[in-house]
Amino acid sequence: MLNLFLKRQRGVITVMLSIVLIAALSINATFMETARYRSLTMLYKEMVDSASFSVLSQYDRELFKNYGLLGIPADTGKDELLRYLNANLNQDVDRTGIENMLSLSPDSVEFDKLYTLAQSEVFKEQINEFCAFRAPVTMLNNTLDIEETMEALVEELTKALPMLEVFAGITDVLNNLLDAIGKLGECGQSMFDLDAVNNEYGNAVDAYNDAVEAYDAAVEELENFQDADTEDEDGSTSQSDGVTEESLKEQVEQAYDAVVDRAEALRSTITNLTGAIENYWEAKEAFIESYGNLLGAGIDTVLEEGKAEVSGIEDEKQREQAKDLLEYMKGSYEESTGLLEDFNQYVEKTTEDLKESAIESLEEQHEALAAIGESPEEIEPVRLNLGFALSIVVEFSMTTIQAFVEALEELGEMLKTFGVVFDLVSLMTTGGKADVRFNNMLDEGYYNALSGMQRPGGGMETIQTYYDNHDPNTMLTISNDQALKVEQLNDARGITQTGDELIDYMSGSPQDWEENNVFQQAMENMSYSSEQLKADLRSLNGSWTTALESLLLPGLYLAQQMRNIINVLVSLHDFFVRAIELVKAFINLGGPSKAETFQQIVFQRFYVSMYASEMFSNRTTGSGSKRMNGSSLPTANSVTTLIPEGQCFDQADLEYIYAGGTNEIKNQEVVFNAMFALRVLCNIPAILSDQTLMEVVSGLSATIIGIIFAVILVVAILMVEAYTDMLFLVFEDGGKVDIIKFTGYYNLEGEGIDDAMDHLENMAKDKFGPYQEAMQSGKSSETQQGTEKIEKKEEKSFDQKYAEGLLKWSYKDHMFFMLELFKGSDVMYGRIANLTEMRMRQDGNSSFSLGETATYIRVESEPTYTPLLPIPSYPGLNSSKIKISNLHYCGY
Amino acid sequence: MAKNKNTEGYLTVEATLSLTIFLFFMIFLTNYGQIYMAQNYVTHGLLQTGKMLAMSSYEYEQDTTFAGAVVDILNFLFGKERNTAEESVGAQWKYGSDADKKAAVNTALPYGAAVNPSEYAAALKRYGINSVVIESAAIDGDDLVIKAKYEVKLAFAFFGYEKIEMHQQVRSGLWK
Repeated sequence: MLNLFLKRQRGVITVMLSIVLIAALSINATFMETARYRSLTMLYKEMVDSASFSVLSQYDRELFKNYGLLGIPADTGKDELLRYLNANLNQDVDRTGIENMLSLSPDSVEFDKLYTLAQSEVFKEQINEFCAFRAPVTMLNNTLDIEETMEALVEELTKALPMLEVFAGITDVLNNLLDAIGKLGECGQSMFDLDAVNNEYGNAVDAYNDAVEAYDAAVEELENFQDADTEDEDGSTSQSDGVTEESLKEQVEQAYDAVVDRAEALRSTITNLTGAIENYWEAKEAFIESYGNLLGAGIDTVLEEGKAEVSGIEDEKQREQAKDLLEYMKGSYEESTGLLEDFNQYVEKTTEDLKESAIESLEEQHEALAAIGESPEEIEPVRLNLGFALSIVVEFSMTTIQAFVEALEELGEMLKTFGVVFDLVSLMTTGGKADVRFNNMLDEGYYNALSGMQRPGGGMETIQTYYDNHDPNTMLTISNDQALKVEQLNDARGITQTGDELIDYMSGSPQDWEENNVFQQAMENMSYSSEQLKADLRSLNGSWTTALESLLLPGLYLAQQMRNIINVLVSLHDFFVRAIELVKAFINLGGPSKAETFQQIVFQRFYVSMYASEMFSNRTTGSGSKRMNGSSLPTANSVTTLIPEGQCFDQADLEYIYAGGTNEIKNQEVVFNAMFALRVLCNIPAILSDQTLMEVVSGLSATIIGIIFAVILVVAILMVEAYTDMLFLVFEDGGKVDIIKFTGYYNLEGEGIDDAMDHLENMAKDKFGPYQEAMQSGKSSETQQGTEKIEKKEEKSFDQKYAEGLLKWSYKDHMFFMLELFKGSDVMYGRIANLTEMRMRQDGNSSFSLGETATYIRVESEPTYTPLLPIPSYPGLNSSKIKISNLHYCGY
Repeated sequence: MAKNKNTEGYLTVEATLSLTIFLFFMIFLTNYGQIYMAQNYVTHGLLQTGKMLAMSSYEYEQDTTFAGAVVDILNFLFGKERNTAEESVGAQWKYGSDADKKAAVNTALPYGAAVNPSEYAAALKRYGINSVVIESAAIDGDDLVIKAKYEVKLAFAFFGYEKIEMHQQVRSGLWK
């Protein structure tokens, strides 16, 4: 058998080599194709990366140019990707055999866009990255300088803090005192009411007694007539004088009806009087309780502690003034408590027994009068009650009126001055220069459909949506990507949560930092009170004589307003201390050892505030303002384009970010009020260090009425000072004011007011003169010249601007500060999203939606190629082509 | 015996035939591998160059300061003033003609192809490439399109072919 094979030796080498070499060649070919597979996989991955990168390069140019946001437009997608991918795969290059070995065919490419700008976390990340890395140089400089600016601010605030604390201590004292005075006023008012009703009661008693007297006379006349008639035997009625028994009976009936009517009226008056007594009683009890609280509040201790505290004030002048002020307040407190004690003794005379006996007596009268209608025999005259109350009311009211009138006569001219100032300041602003100029109102339906209002969740929802829309069985290796994304999202949420918790902790109450928070409400209350106060002062100026005639009630009313304002000032002080702590915390976070997460959240808040204030226009943004690279300031095109009604604000975008309303006017008013309140706070050091004012205050503080008007005086100056600041700030391309003032515009010698008015006039002339002239002549070139003139005039050296920037703030700077401290970052992000969407639509892309502007793409593809070399094959697996699986994520 | 004489040398003949075919195949595989590696290297380099230039276009579009423009123009006009190759590329890209753009691609290619640009020439030599010729570098709408050709010298001349010409194009979206 072996020989059989051995004999056939021809071809054995061929057979052997065929077997061996074919195997060897197959192995070599397999190695080669394996290497080719690996390298093609890497090359294809690089090509997909390049194509995806190119798709990302087709970002929305307008969105980036104006808002610094990167997003893929809705109409950019798979077609663009394939265009780049096919080009790089040489699909459109002439193929000449081996010359091109990139024989990949990108079949079954699946293209998804993920993470739209409407998602809160994506939007946050874009804005934060823009501020950190892509912002224009001016914004970058602000970022770099902000820590230094904050340090300077803290230094100024820290200097002012002792004075603020003194003021807060004073306001505590005043608050208690004014509470008692307010109760006293209410008690006095109830006394006046009681007096008025008692007078009505007296008149009703007189009228009733007159009617009873007339009735008695009529009855007597009838009886006399009947007696005389009885003596006549025929019994006929005498007609000699025209008087008959019937006519006399009719007269008696009429008199009886009159008595019944008067009795009814008297009963009604008694009811009113009983009510007035009860009201008085309640007011009296409230006063006594308030007075008891005042005595038990230990105000002496508070004042002593305040004196100990002010000894720590570095500035000697301020320290002495603070001490003096506390001394004045102590003196006036003692005077005031003396007067309150006198009044307390008055009202204590109206004891419970007197009240009960008076009411019991009135009720008896009430019942007796009720019986009159049933039986004429019950008719009897009534006697007056309440002599004790009347005497107190008259005595007190006369004293009070006299004191008020005397005090007001002395203070009238002084208060009138401020009325004049308010009117002059108002006059300066007529013609719309500082009034609200932008008045668009968003359509509610349109507004509610904006992306910022929808606020879908973060990437978790995206992933879930993706899973819902795709069959997991057909997906490739998604699990690792999902895990990565979930981890990143959890990290992001952790950061947000940590920051929020810390800020909540620092603020004392989580709600304080939300919208409609306590502080916000307090500021609005204060602004409201200040408006009322201004109105009162204006009325004093307009009709002083008339106002003097009814000064008692306005006086008490003003005192009530004062209590509101003082309460708000106390709240402001507390808030200010918190704000300082927050700023200090920010500064202390500079070191690398601090918690990174908190640093991120603080920077996030800074970033979004800075982004909002720098990128969006506000009511002061004028045509002369330089348009930043990235700003919502209307462009030349959009100015000439009619803004669709209800689809965008005219210009007050930043005000919307703060206030959040759909009414542009209302938004500007809210911001004005809040900024006004902030300015009041910032001006406190300047007002309290005014020597002349403090002397007047001390003079006034000698009487209980004077102390009320001393406070009104201080607050009036605060108001007019802050009001003037606001006028500087809200002018178009307006001016800057000191962050913390130490010298006010106004003082009681008159010079400051004159200077301030000159300043206002000059400012108005500089700001609006060129515009007014151009408007009058109707030549736009002159407007341009005017603009250039203003810009030229305002040019300053960098050092000047830098130094000024640390100490003086413009309207926009105030807005930045207010947003930073008063607004949650999530609220701001949502409103910025709304504005971005509205502005983009306004600028021509009417269908723009952040929800369709993706920031991330996912490319899943399985290209195939045909092996060039003979390799072992498995039917059904790689019998014809070899498949490459690729999954690629790419985003901004 | 005669029968045996007729079969003498068959081993040699068979071996010669079989091994020749085998060797041809091995030479083919070697050349194939070399061409493939060369194409991969050049394609990678061009992709990265396109990406880099497409991105730097934004940087130089955005640099609109007067000082920056003056420096760029000076750098462009007086090449000796150029501080870095990257600045040179940017200036050429921003102010140059099509020829300058090609030059910019040529300048940038070593940066895109190699981690260390100085190793670029050695890498080309290793893959048997004399040079990569940029046929065109043009702006097509929002895209940069680079077309290049290069010759790969074969390790073993094959039927008279000593080298083979290859083409590659790259299209990158401009970040501008």
